[in-house]
Amino acid sequence: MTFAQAQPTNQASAAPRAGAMPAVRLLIVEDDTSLATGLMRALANEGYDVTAAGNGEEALERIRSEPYDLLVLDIGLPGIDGFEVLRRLRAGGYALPVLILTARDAVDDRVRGLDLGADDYMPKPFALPELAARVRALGRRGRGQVGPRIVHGPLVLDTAARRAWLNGEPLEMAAREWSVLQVLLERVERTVSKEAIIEAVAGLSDDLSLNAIEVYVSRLRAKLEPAGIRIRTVRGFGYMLLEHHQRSAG
Amino acid sequence: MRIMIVEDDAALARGVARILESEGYAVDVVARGEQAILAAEQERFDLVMLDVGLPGMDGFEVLRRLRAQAERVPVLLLTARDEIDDRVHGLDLGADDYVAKPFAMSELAARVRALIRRSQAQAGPKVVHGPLLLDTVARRAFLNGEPLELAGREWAVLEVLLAKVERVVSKEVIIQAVANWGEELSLNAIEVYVSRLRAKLEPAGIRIRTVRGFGYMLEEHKAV
Repeated sequence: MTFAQAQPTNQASAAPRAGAMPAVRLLIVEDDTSLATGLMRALANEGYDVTAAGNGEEALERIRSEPYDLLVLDIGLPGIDGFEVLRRLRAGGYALPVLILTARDAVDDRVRGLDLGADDYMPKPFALPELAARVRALGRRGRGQVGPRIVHGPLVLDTAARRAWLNGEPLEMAAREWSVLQVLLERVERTVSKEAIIEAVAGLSDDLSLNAIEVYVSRLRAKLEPAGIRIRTVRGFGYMLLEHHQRSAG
Repeated sequence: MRIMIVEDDAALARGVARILESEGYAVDVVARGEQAILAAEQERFDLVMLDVGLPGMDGFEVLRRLRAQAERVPVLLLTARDEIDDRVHGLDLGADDYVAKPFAMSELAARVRALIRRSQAQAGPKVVHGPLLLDTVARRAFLNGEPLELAGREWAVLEVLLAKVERVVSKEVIIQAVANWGEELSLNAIEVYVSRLRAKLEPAGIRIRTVRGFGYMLEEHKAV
């Protein structure tokens, strides 16, 4: 059984919220339809682009054809089980962070899952706020950040609360502006192509044009340049967030 | 790989340290948060295992300060505080994992392996470099499919070089990664381990280049 039967679409996207939505793509592999539906709704609410698969083969197929940032994996699945899904992923060189979420609570199962290459292991029943926090931690580490805060000169992004400040003042950003800025912040002083930005910020269901990216960048510039943060255009290619230089000491 | 344990319960700290050492890690123990901050400024650790309930500065505050200094080291919180709110708070302060006491040592060790793997950007528990395969869980190495015997320190030095293929690693960095404070490891000792590694690996075409006056570099393996 797949979720396509249970729901007209097995993908949930967050309603755009002000200042929110890092476009992290999350795949849930869970055969308990009602649990999967609840998880999808809860994680979509946190701003993730969430897809579900009802069995291991479907999950592997999806991961081979689409990029995901994080996998939430049940162990007891019809067909190949979650351990086998994980083993095949790692053997295939897929490095995406994996959180195992399972009723199998024995220490041996935990050790086995982690040693097969899982990044985290949560037994059911679980508390949703903790799951969300663990997903945030994995997302952070998977993207090469460590703290929940990204600081760039006078700009501070709190990735847990999804709030931004400029010179200590709250900074309002639309969801897409936030996503574009995050991509640029991950590659300060390196050129990022418009295509790479689209890939990083668009959900699977979205069709984003190069023009749309230009619009988001120009909005970001209007907000950030007064504080001395510059996004340079690299003609015919993309953008580069410049290193922030202190103008005057003290 | 080097781990700092921040734990005021000396018996627990010693027990965990002993087991992690038997798994091949270099381990340092400090009992107070202030010492942990200082140590993290001065030395490079691959993982910090941090108790929350410490005398003086608590573990949450230690974590907050580490992250405020853009310290990227993976942090595992290990604490008797088991409330969901504490877990969420710790993770959102920038912890990578949160384990409640009491814990099973085998699970703790597996979580340590998982965190180190992720921070070293290894895809899975097996590290492959040309004909060389390191199974970091079983701590066994294979060369061209044949088991390869490596002494503890040889393994540790090789892991450091494998994490930085095609990048020069200074001898000082290698010492920091493989020895704890109590050990006096000389630059000469590192040369000995490297030369033993070379004797084992070069016949299979794996080369460790000497960068004179500085350190070593494991070269990208090119299929012949």
